[in-house]
Amino acid sequence: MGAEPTRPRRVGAPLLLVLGLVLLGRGMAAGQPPQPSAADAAAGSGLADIPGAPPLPASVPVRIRIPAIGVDAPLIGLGLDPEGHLAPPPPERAGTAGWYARGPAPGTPGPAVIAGHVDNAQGPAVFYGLGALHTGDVLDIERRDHRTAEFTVDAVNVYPDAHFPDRLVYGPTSYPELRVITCGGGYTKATGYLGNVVVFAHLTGPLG
Amino acid sequence: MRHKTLSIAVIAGLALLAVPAAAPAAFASGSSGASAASVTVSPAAVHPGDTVQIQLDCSAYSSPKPTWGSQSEFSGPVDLRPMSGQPGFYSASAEISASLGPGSYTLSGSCAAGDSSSSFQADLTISSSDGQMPSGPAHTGVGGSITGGDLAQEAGGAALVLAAGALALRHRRSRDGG
Repeated sequence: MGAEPTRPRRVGAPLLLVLGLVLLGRGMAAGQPPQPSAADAAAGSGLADIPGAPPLPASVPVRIRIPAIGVDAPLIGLGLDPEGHLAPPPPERAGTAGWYARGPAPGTPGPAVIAGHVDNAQGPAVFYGLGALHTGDVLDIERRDHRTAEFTVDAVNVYPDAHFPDRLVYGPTSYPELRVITCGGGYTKATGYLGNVVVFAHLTGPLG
Repeated sequence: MRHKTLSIAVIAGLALLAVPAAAPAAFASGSSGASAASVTVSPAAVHPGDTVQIQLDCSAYSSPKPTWGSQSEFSGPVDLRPMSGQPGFYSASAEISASLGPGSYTLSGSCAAGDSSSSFQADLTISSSDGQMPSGPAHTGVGGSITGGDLAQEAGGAALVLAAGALALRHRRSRDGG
């Protein structure tokens, strides 16, 4: 009789501890934008030059839709700041994303670049949910020629600011590809966001 | 002899390859044939989406009414306005279409509508648009979405951790105490 009552307690305490820590962790993570899972990350070599649908003629992109995370946003043209970094849309236009207008247009060969804010001072912005995308999810770019370039996600990676892979993200590719960028990779009050979430995708439609 | 011809052709080919790689995009200016009209477009190096200044010289014509023929290369209509103090000269500021692919284009128009002898042309070369790409990270957030987290989950988790601690303590006491 003496050994019996102690058994549930012996299992009980570690179980409660694990459950408690999981709940605590989830509660704390709920206060930050979603970050990509390791399953959706991919190393450099597999990310460029993925053949897909045939290239489209150039046309200005006007809208981005990402059904998986409920994004449907207008696009504006973006340039570079004096340091050569991509100049994002004005922070007060939280619902607007932008495309790098001097780079390849989405649907033409090369890496088309789209960027948007994860948040501004007021709260979540257009690409808050970008880190929750998974391999195989679809992004649609509506163009001024009324054709929609459909891209499929190959990977969702996080890069710390100090180790941003310029060649991998911005380097030339033979086929039409897409890079969608926002802030992420952890946050501290002192430094702000520590890196970028980058979605890699390649053109998969329209076919023919 | 055949080898020599071939090697000259190869060298010429290499030279041709080397020149465009080093040369930036350029607008040429000039007039067409015997026409006295001329047009200048600057700056010389342009990419899709850039804004250029156009200056048109129709001063050789007594009452010029310039028409601009090339529209698809630009994002909007090219609005030629008379330059004050310079009779016969016109200027415009125009944005190259962001979707214009790399290659050669001919811009054209005439100083007097319907008079082909007053036509002008300028060759336009657009450099590959992906020649100049961004570098480094993009600053796309300031932290305004960061909150303390889900308070209910945090409180529940903390309560469970405390309970686990209490349970372990009781277990140890009951074991130590007999």
